[in-house]
Order: sequence, then C-alpha cells, then structure tokens
Amino acid sequence: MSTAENLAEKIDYEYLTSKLEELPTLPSIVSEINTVINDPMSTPKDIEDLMLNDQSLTTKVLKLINSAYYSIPGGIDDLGRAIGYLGYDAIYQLVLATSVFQSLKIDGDISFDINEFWKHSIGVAIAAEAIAKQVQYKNPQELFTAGLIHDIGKIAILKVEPELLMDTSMYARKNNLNMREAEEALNTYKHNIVGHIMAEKWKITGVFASVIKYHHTLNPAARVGISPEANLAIDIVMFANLFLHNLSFGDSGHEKKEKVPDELFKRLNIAGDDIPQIANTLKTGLQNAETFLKVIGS
Amino acid sequence: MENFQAIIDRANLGLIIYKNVSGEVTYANPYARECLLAQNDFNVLSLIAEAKRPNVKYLNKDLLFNESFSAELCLKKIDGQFLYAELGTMPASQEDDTYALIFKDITHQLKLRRDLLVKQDEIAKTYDDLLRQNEQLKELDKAKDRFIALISHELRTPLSAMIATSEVLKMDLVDSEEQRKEFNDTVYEQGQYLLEIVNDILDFAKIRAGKIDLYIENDPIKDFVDKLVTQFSKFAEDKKINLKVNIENETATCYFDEKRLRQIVSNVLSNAIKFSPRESTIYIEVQEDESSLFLMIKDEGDGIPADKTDAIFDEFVTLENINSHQKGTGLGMPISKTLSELMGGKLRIDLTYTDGACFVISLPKTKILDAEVYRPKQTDGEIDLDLIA
Repeated sequence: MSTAENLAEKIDYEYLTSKLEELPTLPSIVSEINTVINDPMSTPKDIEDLMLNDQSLTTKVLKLINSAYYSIPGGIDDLGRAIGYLGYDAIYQLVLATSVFQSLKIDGDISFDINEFWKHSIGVAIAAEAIAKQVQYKNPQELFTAGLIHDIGKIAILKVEPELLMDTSMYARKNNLNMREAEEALNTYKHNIVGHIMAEKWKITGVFASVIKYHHTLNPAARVGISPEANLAIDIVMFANLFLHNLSFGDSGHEKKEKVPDELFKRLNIAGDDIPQIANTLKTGLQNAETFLKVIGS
Repeated sequence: MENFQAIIDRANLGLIIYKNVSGEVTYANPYARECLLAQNDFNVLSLIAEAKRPNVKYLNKDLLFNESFSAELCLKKIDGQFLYAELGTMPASQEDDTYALIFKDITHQLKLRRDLLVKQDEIAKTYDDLLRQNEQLKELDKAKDRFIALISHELRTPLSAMIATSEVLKMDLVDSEEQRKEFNDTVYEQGQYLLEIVNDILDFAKIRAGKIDLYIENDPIKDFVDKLVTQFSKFAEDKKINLKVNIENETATCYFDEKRLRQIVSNVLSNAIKFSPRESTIYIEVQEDESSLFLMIKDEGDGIPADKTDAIFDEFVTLENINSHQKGTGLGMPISKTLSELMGGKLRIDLTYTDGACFVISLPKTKILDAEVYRPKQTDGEIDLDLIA
C-alpha cells in the first residue's frame, strides 16, 4: 500500500497543521513592510530603513530588480530609486516572493524536481500578470506574486510528507488527472487547503490568500467571503494556470492538459482570438523565467 | 423615513452615531463597518491612533466631541492598520446627547498620490541624471575632437621630418658621411618619438576599454632599478645630471609587471630629467614598510604647485588643456597612475618634499589582486612596442 493510500484513511488537517508548524515562519520584515506600504503617508525611506535590517534580503531583491526579468536599462543599485521606478507594491511583492521562496527551500535529495515546479509557478505568475493587464485588473503586478505562490500548498506537503506528495503526483500522471483531482481520488490533503493554512500561518492575506485557497474553484458562488476584486484575481490565476499547463512550461506534479472553460473566457471577457496575442506577450517573460528563478532561488 | 434608512445603508459615505463622552457607538452604517473592519460593537475612541508622523493630523477627542471638519485625517481601523478619511463631526441629537461622524475613506487616493509623488521624484532624478550624462558626453566629445586634432598634428610633425630627411638620404644629397649619420639619427629619433605617441594613444584606449593585460611576478626591485638607471644614464649625462640610487634593502622584492613598471618609471624619470636644471641630481630611492615598497624619484627642479598635482593625473584635464602641452600627448601621467593602480599600487606626488618634485610609486609586497594577473611575462612572439621609452 502506498503512503497516499495509507494516509487516505486518516486525512487529518489538525495533524498536518501541527507538522506545518515546524516549517519556518516568514521573516517579520514581510508584514512590517506590508504595514508601511499600506500607510499612504509612508516614504521610500521608511522601507529602506526596514530593509536595512535584512541585508541578504535586500541584496536579493536588488538582484531581482536588476535581473533580465525587469531589464532596467543601466540597472538600479539604490533601493529608494527602485521604489520610485517599480512602485511600493512591487517591492513588497518581491520581498514576499523572496521570503516565501527562502522559507520553502528544500534541503536534501528528493525525486521531485523542485526547479521545474517553481518554473511552472513563475510561468503562471508571468501569465497572470499579462492577463491581468489585458483585462485591466487594478494591480497586475500583484497577480505575478499571486501566481508565484498559488501552489505553495504542494511544497508545504512536500516538506512535511514528501512521500505523500510524490505518490499523489505519480497517481495523477498515471490517470491523467490534475493534482487536485488526484488528491480528491486518493482522499488525501488538498494542496489548496494546505496552502491556505500556510498563508494563515504566514499572515498572507487578501487577494493572495484567496487565490491560494480557491484556484481550483471555478464556480464563484462556491468561493466563500471573497471580494469582487479577489474573485477576478482567482479567475485570472486559474486561467493562467490552465494556459501554462497547455504550454507544458515547468512541472507542477501532473501532466493533464485541460481546456480553459468557456465560462472563464466569458467572465474575463477574453476571446479565443486574443490567445495568440497573450501567448506572444508571454514569450519574452517566459524566456526570462529561468533567470528570475536562479536569482530568487540562490 | 424608511427610504432615508435605505439611502444611508447604501451610501458611499460612512455614518457613525455615538454617545458624547463615552464614545459608545449606537449606529454605524455598512460602509463605515466595512471600512473600519468593525463587525461587532465598537467605540469611536478606539479609532484614535497614536500620533506618529509629525505632518499627519490624527483623530482626537476634541474633534470627536465638537463640530469639526478635516480634509485629511488618520484613524485606526479595528485591525490596527491606518485609514485616512475626509471627516466631519456634529451633534446629532441633544435629547440622546449623541454625535454623528460622517467620513469618506480616502486611503486609496492618498496612496495613489504618494505613489505619484515618488514616481515624479524618480522621473526628476532620472532627468537630472540624463542631463548630467549628456553634459559629460558633450564635454568628452569635444575633448576627443581636440585630442584627435592635436594628435594628428603631433603625428604629422615627426612624420614630415622623417620623410623630408629620408628623401634627402634617398636622393643621396648629403655632403658628408657625418651629415648622413646625422640624418639617419634624425629619422631614428623621430621614429621613436612617433612610436611614443602611438603607444600613449594605444594605452589610453586600452585603459578606457579595460583591456590591459598584466603579467605580475614577484621580482627583486634592485635589478629593475639598476637596469633602468643604466638605460637613462646617457640621457642624463647630456644635461650633466647625476642619477643617484639609494636602495634601503637590496634584497627586497615586490609584485609588479616589469614592462608596465618600466613604462611608469621611464615616464616619471624622463620628465624629471626634462625639468631638472643642468648639473643637478636626481635621487632614485627605494624604501619599504610591512605591506609595500616605495620607489621615489626626486629632482631639483621647480617642483609641482600643490594645486596642480591632481590635474597632472587627470586624463580629462589633460585632454581639456591639450593645446598647451609642449610636446606629446600629455597622457603619460594619467596612464602611469592607472597602470600603478592596476598593479595594486599607487602613483602620487609627495608634497612634503620641497627641493623639487618627488614622485612616489608604491608596489604591494603581497598578492592583493585577482589570481589571474599573477603569471610569468610573455617573452617571445609579438614585438613589444611599449618597451621603447
């Protein structure tokens, strides 16, 4: 009997939550920066002062800003200028993404290709941002981060129950299911629920938390307590996720290619004809995904 | 009246009714509750945030229990985060002794304003950067034009001399063997001078492009100094100048690229000879401390005024004043300084020496540069143009 089948009988989120407790917390700087960013009277200096306390994080964020992903001519070596160039929200999101990445680092040898996993996530991030721009979502950059962290539940499971995740992944591949369907079939932990537990643990709120929790829930009525803005964000990340699976970009644990439901096209007001254009916008971004991954994962 | 309630429930304005003094809220419309994240009973006093920023106006008791209006006021939401509002208070009912507070959440607008200001600031800075860079580029462009004009002139003079002289030789128009020798010497000297200029230009270009290859070895300094002094003694003798060598520790070694150091010292020494009065002495001394060796060249000339020392090493100043140079490109010193630094050392003028000019070249006694520069010099193959001083 595989681990997945073993655990199927005792699917117990309380047990899992206690195991997740052992995972590192996000550095406090993440929430501190969030507070500063939400204060309209804050200045770039407030953020610089906070970041001074975490040199390695600052270095990494500056590296990301200067990576091919942003391709800023001449580069920026001053955080204050970076805030001016990219905006407050972008800096917070880079801090959040970097911290999530660091906290979910996998030590030791496993047979799950974590690099391919993050590659898929970055692909979703890039696509979500592109689609967000297309549908005029208020803050497209926010959806880059949402896309990047939408599947953190999978990594969390991988960290505390590696066998379980790999069995689920194998089951999904064998039966051409997506991970969520495989989890359902094996009656094991749902990665979106686990992701949401992590989000709560890490005090990740708002749109990010909603996307993590509901990125497999197509019906908006089934998404509980969600603002209209978050609903749109979930739709966009769902779309991006399915889109990227069709492009086979990276590997999030399964190989199922699903058609994007018409309902989603309609809700986002995207026509089938728009797809080539979206794919085109994605091209450069996806080419730079590896550089982004290298810097953030270093 | 029912209609009135429906309007307030759906209004895009927050309305809170609260008791005088105690601040207990008796009514809050949905907009107010949503903005303040107040699901349950709450007290308006809990909306008072601790005043932290000097340029921000905060809600206070005075404003709450009087008739007031504020265009931009900071409140504390139930979760502790800040909310900025346009806010007015007024007595609501005398009978119940209550006040009404009406507000509009303007946090988002203020955030946009902040972002816009930061953006504006960044654009202004970038604009300044561009203007400055543009100015520098223009200056550099002008300097390069002048440089090219002068260099062309400088190249033409020795070339013309060489051609005219060799023409005489070619046509065999010399009167005597002595004259033939004299003409031969002229061709040779002018050729050497030409090479000197070309070397300067090449080095300058190489340094600008970061393409100087170094071959640094740990060698005794005495051998180096002795060889160079022998080479320069004839030149010095012409002006009856005495070259006096004093090496503190004759076995001392340090890390240097022989070819490049010879270029630096030759440049300093030939200047010293050029600017020294006849029958004077030039002192070549070597001293050391724990980390470096110091090669000093002191002359008895007029010396260099303190306010000119920086300009001597500055290639831009050199290029700027290129018309005033007596001869050559004037790039020798800037090149020598950069070469010294590339070898991990320094070239400076010692202003404490007042009997003339004193140039000090310091060289490291340990490996302080990237490992790749420490390699044996190339001896065979290409012709070493730079060696001719």
